[in-house]
Amino acid sequence: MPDRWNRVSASPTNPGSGHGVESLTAEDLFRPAARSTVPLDEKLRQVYYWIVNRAVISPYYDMEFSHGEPLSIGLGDAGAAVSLPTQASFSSNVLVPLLTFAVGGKCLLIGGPGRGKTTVAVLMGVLAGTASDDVRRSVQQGQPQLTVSDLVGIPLPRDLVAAERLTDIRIAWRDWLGLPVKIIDEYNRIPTKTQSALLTMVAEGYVESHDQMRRTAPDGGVESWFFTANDDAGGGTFPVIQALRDRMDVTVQAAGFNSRFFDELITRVEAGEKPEEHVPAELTFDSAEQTEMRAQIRAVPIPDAVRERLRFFLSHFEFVQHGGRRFEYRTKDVVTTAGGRVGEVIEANSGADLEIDLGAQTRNGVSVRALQTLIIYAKAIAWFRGADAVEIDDVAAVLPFVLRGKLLPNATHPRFDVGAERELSTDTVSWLADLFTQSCRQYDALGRDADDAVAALLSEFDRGLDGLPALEASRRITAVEAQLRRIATVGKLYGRDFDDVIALKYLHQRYTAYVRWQELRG
Amino acid sequence: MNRIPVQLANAPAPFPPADLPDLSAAGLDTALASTSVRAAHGTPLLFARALAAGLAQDPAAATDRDRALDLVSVAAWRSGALGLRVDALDRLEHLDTPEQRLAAAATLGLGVDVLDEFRRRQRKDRFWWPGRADQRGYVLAVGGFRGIGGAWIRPPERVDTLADAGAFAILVAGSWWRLDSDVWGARLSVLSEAPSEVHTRDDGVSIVIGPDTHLAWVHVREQE
Repeated sequence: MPDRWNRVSASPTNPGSGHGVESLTAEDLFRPAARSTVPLDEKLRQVYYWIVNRAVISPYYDMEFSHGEPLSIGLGDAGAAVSLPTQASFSSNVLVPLLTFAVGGKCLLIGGPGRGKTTVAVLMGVLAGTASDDVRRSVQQGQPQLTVSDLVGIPLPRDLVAAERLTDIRIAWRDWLGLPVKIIDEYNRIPTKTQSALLTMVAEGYVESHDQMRRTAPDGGVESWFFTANDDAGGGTFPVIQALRDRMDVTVQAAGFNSRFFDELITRVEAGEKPEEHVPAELTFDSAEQTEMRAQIRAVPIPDAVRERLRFFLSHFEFVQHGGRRFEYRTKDVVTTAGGRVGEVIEANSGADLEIDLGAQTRNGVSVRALQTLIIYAKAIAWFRGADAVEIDDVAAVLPFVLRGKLLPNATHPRFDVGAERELSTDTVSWLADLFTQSCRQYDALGRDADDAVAALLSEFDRGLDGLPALEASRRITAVEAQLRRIATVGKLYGRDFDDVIALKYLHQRYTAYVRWQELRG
Repeated sequence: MNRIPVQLANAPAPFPPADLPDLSAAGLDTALASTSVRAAHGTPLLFARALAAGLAQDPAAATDRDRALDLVSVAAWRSGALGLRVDALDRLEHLDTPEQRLAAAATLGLGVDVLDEFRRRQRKDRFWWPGRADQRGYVLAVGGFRGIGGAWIRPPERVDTLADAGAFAILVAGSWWRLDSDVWGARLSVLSEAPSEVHTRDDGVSIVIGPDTHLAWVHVREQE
């Protein structure tokens, strides 16, 4: 095996403890090593660096981390700039799929043909311990004639003839269904009916045929899915059903080839090598390691300071003034489900300050599923970076890839039609990143860390109602009403106010119900 | 210009291409040893070639466990596994036959005529090998730009000497790294905090860094 493939980052890829070199003897070299003591996060970092340095030619560092402001250098006369981050930064087209592998998620890789989408996905399959040939063979190629049987397997012909009941028919399930990493190439070329069968697998973790069921997740293990598509804007032979598209936890664009790395490409062509055939054995994860890795990721805490900013960001998007009559129904979802156009409703709200109202830039809100994904991926990247807790930079790094295709831009917003900002209408990742940055700026400008009256009221309530005197409950009802009046004095309402008002109404209900109950009890 | 880390004793290649020798007749599993060498931050390819070069000079070692272990130890050290340094130097002190001396020298990639000088000088100068003077005292470079497979994203800013021989602390982009090194190998590991004590050594060894390179060079001022 050529040694150039086999070089794994020897030095720790992240802060640890440098204890010097342990003395060994020749005899020590012939003792089988105890099971690898490399921590799982360090191992995943070694995998990342092996992929970007050896397997996939990807010199792109678009997931940036910096302490303080990075050095930014303007380029050309069209507003382009390159920033040089101060901390280790990463290639999204490698790291996002790798995090998907770590958490057991679903990743959509998009980009033109021949950009390494399938190669990255196949590498993930090999990392899960499957032989590279088997991974390649198990890739499900999307094509217009792909049937459900092609995808899941066929009923045994003998059983079809002899069976008296549907449950007597045994199914010859396809082998790929049991693999820990599943790859669907060009999923936007799969017929709609087959997409629906795929949806059941992706969403529910099982597949059904002739009343027989088979679980797709390996026993007690972690399964991850990788889809590829040449188009993310609804193109392809068949439109992707929305429910399936919504199941993609993250979407990442494959990077183009950098001509400065042409020599490496020539070397590979001459050697006839495929990176997936050379994954070092020590970089693969067995089922127990994958389960442990996911458990460790889930255990990474999200500190209050990060939660508050994230909460604030999420509050912008659901509300739309004039979306409905009753206050609770003034949401984009109400408009959309009634067949209305959110962009027109936003435009009709002549009193709104579209620059300040971040919610006006989107035509929908963020689903609970997307939020759950955001939480797990933020934890995953914090864990990958070796952090003890999720930092705001971790959220900012993964947020665009999680919300791409889910938080949709309102194309009629002036933001997408003015000068250089027009670029954002095609660069969704930069727009989403900027949206989060703007939200954090607003959070700071409003002094929310120091002054969040609604959070204080909710925190007071969270301490419980057991033994709360009726007088104190009444005082809190008064405080809730006062806070509502305070919000009412502001002329313009924003998404954050909408969430506050709904939360205050909730508190009001809980306290008044408590007071009524106390009165009935005497 | 961006450059990659290098151990100058390995440039140009010190051994001809060779497969990993079979020492099963001596009761030793060299494939396992090769895996252990990798775990000890040595280079398996270099280990295989160094061992093969030594065995070519002393074929009897292929069936003699003790002699084979001598060569394995020296080859592992020669391949960059710093942890084998003490063991290998001890074994070099107890070579009984001319064949063993020839084999040991070949395993190190040296002429047998400089073996004694190498042993003697290594005892007090872990960075010595006969070609150092030709390199104007430079021994090895570590670090390198991460974008092309190195360790660092910025040029190193500061170097402190640590208590252990061949050990230094290097500040890069706000993080402290520990360097352990000798003539055949170097290992970088990240320190969780700044070194608590700074030491001084009068051995002529220094780390050369600059604002326009991601490499840190180990340099030795000749004292003999």
